[in-house]
Amino acid sequence: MNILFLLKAEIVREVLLARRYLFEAIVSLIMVYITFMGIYFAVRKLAIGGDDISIASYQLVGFLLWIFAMSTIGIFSDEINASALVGVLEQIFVSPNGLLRFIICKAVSRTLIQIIPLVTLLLILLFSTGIRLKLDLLAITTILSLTIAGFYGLGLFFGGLALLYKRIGPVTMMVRGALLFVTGAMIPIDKFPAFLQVVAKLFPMTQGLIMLRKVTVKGDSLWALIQNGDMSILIINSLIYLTVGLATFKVMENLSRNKGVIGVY
Amino acid sequence: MDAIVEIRDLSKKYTSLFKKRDVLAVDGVSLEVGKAEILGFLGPNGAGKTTTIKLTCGLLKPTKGSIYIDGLEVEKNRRKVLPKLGAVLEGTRNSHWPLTIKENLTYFGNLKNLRGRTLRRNIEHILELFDLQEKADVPVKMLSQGMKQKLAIALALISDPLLLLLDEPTSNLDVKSSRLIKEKVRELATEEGKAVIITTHNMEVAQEICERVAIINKGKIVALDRVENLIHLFSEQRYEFKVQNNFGWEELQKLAFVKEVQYQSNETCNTLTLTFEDTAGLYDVMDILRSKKVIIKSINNKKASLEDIFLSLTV
Repeated sequence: MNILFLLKAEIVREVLLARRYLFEAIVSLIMVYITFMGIYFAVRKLAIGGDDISIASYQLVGFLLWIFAMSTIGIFSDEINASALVGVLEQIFVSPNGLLRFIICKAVSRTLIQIIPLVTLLLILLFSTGIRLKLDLLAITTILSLTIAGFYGLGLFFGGLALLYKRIGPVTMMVRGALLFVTGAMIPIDKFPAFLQVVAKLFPMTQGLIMLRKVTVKGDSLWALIQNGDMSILIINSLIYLTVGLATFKVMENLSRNKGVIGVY
Repeated sequence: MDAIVEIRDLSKKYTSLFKKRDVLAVDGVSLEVGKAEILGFLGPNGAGKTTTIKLTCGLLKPTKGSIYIDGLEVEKNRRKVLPKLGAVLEGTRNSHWPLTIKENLTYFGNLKNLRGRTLRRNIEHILELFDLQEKADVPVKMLSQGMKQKLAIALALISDPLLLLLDEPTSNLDVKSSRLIKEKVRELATEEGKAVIITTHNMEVAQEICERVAIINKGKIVALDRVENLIHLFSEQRYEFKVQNNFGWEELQKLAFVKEVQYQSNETCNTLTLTFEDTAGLYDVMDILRSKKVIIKSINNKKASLEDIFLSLTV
């Protein structure tokens, strides 16, 4: 029960901060829109793979999931550093719920809040580009939720590193960049060399992206994805990331406590 | 005394890959603090004050020893113990500046699993206690430094803890704000019954509001007693001589029963201040001064201040 109230407290805080920094949120959304429109027109102009709107559909889904992945994975390390900078990390650590519960509730609350601008962006992009997607809400929600679990796992891994080593910006930037190119966000992975396809499938975003494209562009049903084994791969992939992420976070938390560096910035 | 906090043989060693760089920050510290008591924790920079505070609130893992709060061991009962303590750590802002005072109190109350009527009641009580009602809806970033520090203490009290840990609460505050914080801390102990441990460099703060003082140096407690006992003990041992003529006072430092010698010389008179290990040595000093034909104008038993005691124990 306590964790639900903690989640509610984080949601309330996120909403308050979003209202206080509304200008920044709107500008960020505009920048993301402009970035995608730039990519969209460049791709259509260059007619990569033919001037086929279905390529653009693939890219829209890939781009949006990448945006979502970038912000979700970064929540953990960003929040730890921000809390240390503001000076409240130590207070959070000595609260009865502890740091891990706090950071997970923070991630969930921010993910929920982010859905609103992302859906808004999706609708604007669909209108601007003429792209048509099949929006099977049950399938999309299920796939996204499982994919997010994998993002959280990777995020917890980086969060743990941030707790002990503080400045891990270059590492997270590198991974965030890799997610754009290696997971098939812009170019489908079946165009990659064989070894790179294997590497791509190890990333937490790849399987979720393949499945989202099958649902939104090709029109596959959730049941079809369960039957063909795609869902099992996604579940296993996300579980592994989540397990490794949680374990790493706890180990780093203990080490930080031993070394006395929690809250040091 | 029913102790709210018991620290037993507490040690903290920071280890490094190279054993030569291991640091024993806290070495065998033991103390107790009871309800409605304010314990001052004094020590030079790097003595181990902040480390002890962080160990007490569970931010650091001890190498040895244990800490009990309200009878529960901190390491083994974190979830139960942590709501019983509030901490204000030095150099941290302790609050979210874009949020208002009330929003901060609500948020940190939720972090400590408070909600509903209990939380609302605690918030109202704290706003009244700290005279923050009028500013309750003002964002923290618009408050003065003194108000921010008041809020930091208020946030530490949101769960109505038994123990309050304050690490340098008056540093960077002006005289007026510092006085306000001292008054509030005193009220928290005397009227709210909180046990308070306060670390400070400000001897005036310690002398004014603390009942007992622990002086820590190089990780070890070197004195732990009521302030008046320490002052009395050191005052008994400290004598001030007003002498007319200069003399070779340096050799007094070599005497075994003399702990400290200070000598000040000006146009009108010279002041020799001696701190004795054993006041029986006073007569030996008188004999030495007589043999050197020193003209003594007056002898006073000088009342030591906490600062004098601190300097004498931590040199």
